[in-house]
Amino acid sequence: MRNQLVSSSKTQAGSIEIANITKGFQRRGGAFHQVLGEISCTVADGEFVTIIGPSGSGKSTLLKIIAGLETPDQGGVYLAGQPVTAPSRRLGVVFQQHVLLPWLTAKQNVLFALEANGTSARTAEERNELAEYWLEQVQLLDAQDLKPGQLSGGMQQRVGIARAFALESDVLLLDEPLGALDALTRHDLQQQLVYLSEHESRTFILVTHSVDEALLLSDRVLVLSAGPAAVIQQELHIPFARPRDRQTLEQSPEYLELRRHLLDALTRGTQEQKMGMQPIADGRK
Amino acid sequence: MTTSSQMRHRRGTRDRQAHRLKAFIGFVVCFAAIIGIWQLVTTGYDDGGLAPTPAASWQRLIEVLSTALVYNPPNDFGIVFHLLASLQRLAVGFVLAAVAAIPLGLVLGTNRVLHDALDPIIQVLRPVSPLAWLPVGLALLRDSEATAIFVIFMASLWIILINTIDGVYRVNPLYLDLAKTLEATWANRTFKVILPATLPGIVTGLRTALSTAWLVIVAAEMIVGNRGMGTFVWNEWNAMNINSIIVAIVIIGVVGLVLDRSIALLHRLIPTT
Repeated sequence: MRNQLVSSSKTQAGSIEIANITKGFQRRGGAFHQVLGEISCTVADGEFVTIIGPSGSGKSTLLKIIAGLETPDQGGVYLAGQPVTAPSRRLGVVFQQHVLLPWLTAKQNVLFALEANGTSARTAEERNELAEYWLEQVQLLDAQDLKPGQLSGGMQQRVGIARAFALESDVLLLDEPLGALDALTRHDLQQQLVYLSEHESRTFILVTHSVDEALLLSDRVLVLSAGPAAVIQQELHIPFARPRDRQTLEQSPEYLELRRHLLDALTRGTQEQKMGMQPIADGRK
Repeated sequence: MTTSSQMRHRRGTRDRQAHRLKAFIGFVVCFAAIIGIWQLVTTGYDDGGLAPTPAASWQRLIEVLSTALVYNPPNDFGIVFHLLASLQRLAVGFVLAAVAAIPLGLVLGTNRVLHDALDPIIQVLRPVSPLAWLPVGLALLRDSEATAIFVIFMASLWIILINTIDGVYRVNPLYLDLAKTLEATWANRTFKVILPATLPGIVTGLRTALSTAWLVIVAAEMIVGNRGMGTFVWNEWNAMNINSIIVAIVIIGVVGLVLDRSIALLHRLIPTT
């Protein structure tokens, strides 16, 4: 399998270790809300891991902690053995909303990412070529001079994906990157992500609530329990050979079995919570 | 399908035209009514001919405009030179205020501690009428021209400052997360992310400040100016020429409208989605 091939090689630049982290927030009015219970896991260099969980389970908080945008209350995150204390260019992020700067064109947005830290090993011409290369990878070379406001939602998110890949970070963190898109565009972009992730030996951590997205893209799926104090309740290895093709995948009985299992795990979590916390809600279902 | 959409389009155009016509008729009626009431109130008013009638004001407007370009220093200036003097003071005071307030606003908007430290001072000084600063200006600057500019500066400063700070607070927090994950330098973060994202707030501040400064300049010039719209109003009052003051009110209003509309055009330059 791909991840084993890569992780057996010498480079461990993109390995992530999450060690005993917890996170909570003080709510207005004083009550403390424990979002994440104790969470530990490791992601090997070059592995594609998906964190899936019911809404409100703290998936995005977990990803923000890995990205260094939030500090855990306890424990720590380690990238290639080094603690992550602040956001870093080695941890690229694709945000839930596209987060393109509206006053820059698609290409300028990618170039901004390449130049933002003020130092670059590349010449201006090389950066230009790199930006164009990644815009071409997401089929947006023709739209490179358009502003985000002139692009559709799917195109905007593709620019966001091109920007994150162009950074050439060891790790790419994807926070529900396709969550805000319509079903057809999402389907199309999932296909592109499969292609890109299989052609790039980087570590990917994806947060999603789509079971099909998780099964299509991942080597491993971590299932969070329903919050508060969410923990990893299950870990599933997704055994399908790469390159993956959605059609063949969806026809295999193993896929259906995994899908059913995953949905089961996700809904069981929320139902238990609902039964425990607000028994009246059952009548409405 | 084409015909129905064309029909819908035509109906839309017709509706808009009908609306404009109705609004225009309404405007003419209201305007005539105001002139009529004005006429009724001022004719036969036993005040020794002081009250401005519509006809006398119109007469005076023609006179003022026909002598608009007279230039006989030290005392005889056409209205154009009064207007230019006011606009010049406005421009200098306003630009100085913008140059001071925008960078300060960006600093205070991005530095919570500094903001909270200075906020009580800003909040106390903000509601003070800029004219209250006029004697302070005269005492310290000992120059009427500089004092008028100082008053305009004080009138604009707080409005631009507060709107800039507010603009920084309204910057999409995800832009800041993006800048962090890209390890953006201070300069890139400030000038390529925060400043462009704050521009809508800054333009709102500039627009409000310019309107306020234009309100204030007339009052300030009544006291300190040797030329300017305020001086014109004051001189004409001393000459008991109330018709001229109606003329001045119309000119000040029209120029204020033009100033406001021209700075509002800046809003169009900024893409926000």
